[in-house]
Amino acid sequence: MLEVDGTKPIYIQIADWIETEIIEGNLAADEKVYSQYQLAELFNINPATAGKGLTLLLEAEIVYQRRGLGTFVSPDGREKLLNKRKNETLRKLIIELLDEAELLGVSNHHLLSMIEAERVRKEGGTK
Amino acid sequence: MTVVEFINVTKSYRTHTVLKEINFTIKQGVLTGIIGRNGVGKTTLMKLIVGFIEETSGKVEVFSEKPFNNLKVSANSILVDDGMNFPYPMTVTDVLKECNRFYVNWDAKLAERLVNYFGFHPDARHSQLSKGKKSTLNAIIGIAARCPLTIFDEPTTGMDSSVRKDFYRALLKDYLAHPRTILLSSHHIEEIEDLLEDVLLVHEGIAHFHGSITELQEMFITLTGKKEKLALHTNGKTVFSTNNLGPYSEWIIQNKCTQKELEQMKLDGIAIASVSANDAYIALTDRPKGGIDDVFE
Amino acid sequence: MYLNEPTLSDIVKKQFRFKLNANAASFSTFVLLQAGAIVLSIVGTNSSFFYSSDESLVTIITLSNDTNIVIAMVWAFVLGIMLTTRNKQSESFSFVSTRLSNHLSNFLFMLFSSLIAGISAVLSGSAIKLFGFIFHGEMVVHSSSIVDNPNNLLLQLVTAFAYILLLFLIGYSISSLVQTNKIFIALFALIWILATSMNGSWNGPEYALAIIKFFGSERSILLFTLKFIVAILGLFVISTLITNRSEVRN
Repeated sequence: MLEVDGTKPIYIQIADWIETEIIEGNLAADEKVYSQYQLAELFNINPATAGKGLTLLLEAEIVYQRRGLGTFVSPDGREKLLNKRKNETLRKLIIELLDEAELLGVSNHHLLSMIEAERVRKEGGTK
Repeated sequence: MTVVEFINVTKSYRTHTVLKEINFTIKQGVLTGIIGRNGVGKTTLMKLIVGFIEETSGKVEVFSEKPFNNLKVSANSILVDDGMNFPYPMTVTDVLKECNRFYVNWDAKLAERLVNYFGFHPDARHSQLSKGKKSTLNAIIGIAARCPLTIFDEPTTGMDSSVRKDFYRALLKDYLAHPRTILLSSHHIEEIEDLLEDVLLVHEGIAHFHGSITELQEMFITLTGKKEKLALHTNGKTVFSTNNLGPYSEWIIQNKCTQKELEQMKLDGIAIASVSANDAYIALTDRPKGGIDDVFE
Repeated sequence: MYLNEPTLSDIVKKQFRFKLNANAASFSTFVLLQAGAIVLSIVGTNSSFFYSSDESLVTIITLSNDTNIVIAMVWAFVLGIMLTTRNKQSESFSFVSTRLSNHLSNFLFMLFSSLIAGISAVLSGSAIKLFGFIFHGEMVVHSSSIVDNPNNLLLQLVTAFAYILLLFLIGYSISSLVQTNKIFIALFALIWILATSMNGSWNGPEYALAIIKFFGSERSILLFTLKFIVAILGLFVISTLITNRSEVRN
């Protein structure tokens, strides 16, 4: 898929939103997902566009369909998503990080220690 | 099932030809946006569909029948535009009563609730309403009539922005509850793009583009970066529009780059973004590399 | 997809009702005009005769409802013109309509209006008589009323109705012609100028009377009716045909 820095097409945003709902646990395994009409109403968009968002998730087997009953979260949907985010989103961010570090002449060792320092600070802040 | 079909339709007036052998079909239940610059024939096209005017040549079919002087087409379609007028003495209530008798699917309760919501005095005369209020009432009629083929031509003319939003929301909700074929035109694509399933772009008298809104949105990408870098990376590609933003330029090209090309662009500091329907539409209707800036060069 | 398939007569009926509502104001105008005509008619036409033999002066006051009928005809003519204006046409097309259903409902409206206008113009004759007694207080030499001559009144009703309807359709046809091509405006203006220059001034009632003469010279009621029906239907069919391809809301 196209890598976008700017605004994403709505159907992708819809898919993203449902994914986040699954990751955050708002939608559990085998729980019914919003229908395209509910999504259309919720986001004020055309139901066909909402349907495209659901189709993306169906193709990735994050959700499955039961004839006449609707769309449900796959038992391993959340796991798949977590892997996907690790492999795609996180990897993308790391590549960007490495590019930026290279541009600034920051060594690998220095970069790792910066990450560690940031983690300590964050954990300290939440305590 | 096809609701509207145009086959090589030409419509000429004495001095000029508006539609030139235009071809397209509209399927049942699809909400289609009719877009195009002023004077390209969007209104002409809509009037042909409801039989207000007659094609010069070609074939127009609505519900598989020729719409001109066709009672069935008239009874099952409605065109809401600013030419929708009612006799001088009729009040808002009178107009709604007439609608109730003419349109079999008319939802009187919905019409009444909408009229209340938008703050109409039931005894106000239609002819004395402000332009925005007239548009609002006409739009309410278009929604409540629930015609199998509902057409809005620039329905929000004169409405203020909150009323526009409410109208589009009302239209969507009623469309979800009572699916029907809807055609909607507007100058402001960004205002209606989320609502649309399909887009019919009329340009130079023909259907320049007809497909889903996502297809239109994914047709192009925007590249933002330094001019020289952009020129380097777009070598051999058609640039549809250029726009200068301070030190950076924004170029729109077709979304046909390989993953490798895109990655190299990013390495060169070029930001890649998707294109809004409006920008895609401008890219499609502009001559390549021609814009207002070129006039001054 | 469920499609509604209305019949022509169903839509014509609905449009007829719509036209009655839409043109309610023209009926109040009509009532005002008739009231004015009654006031004018009560004054009557005086003609005095001096008889030298016995030195008596005889004044004959003629009261008639001719003015009412002529005014009703002029009203019908103007309303007929107004029914086919672009504005009125586009108003009809705000609802379900075809050109044919629009014409047919207009025709029904004109029939109905002619009937109402005819009846009130004829009955205003009785009102004039009543007021005549009060104001003039003279002896009535001759009067035809519903009591002593019901046939006469019926005949008056039918003829008034027929003439008013005829004027409706003349106005309607002129306006339809103008709709198809603006050249007809110039043509009708020319006819107007010629007509007025012939006898010096525009005299509406006189032209109305000319029409009455054309039809009224007919002695046989059957032929008279036939002449009217042919004229009215002819005008209606012509108006319908010439505007059947006209473009609306354009």
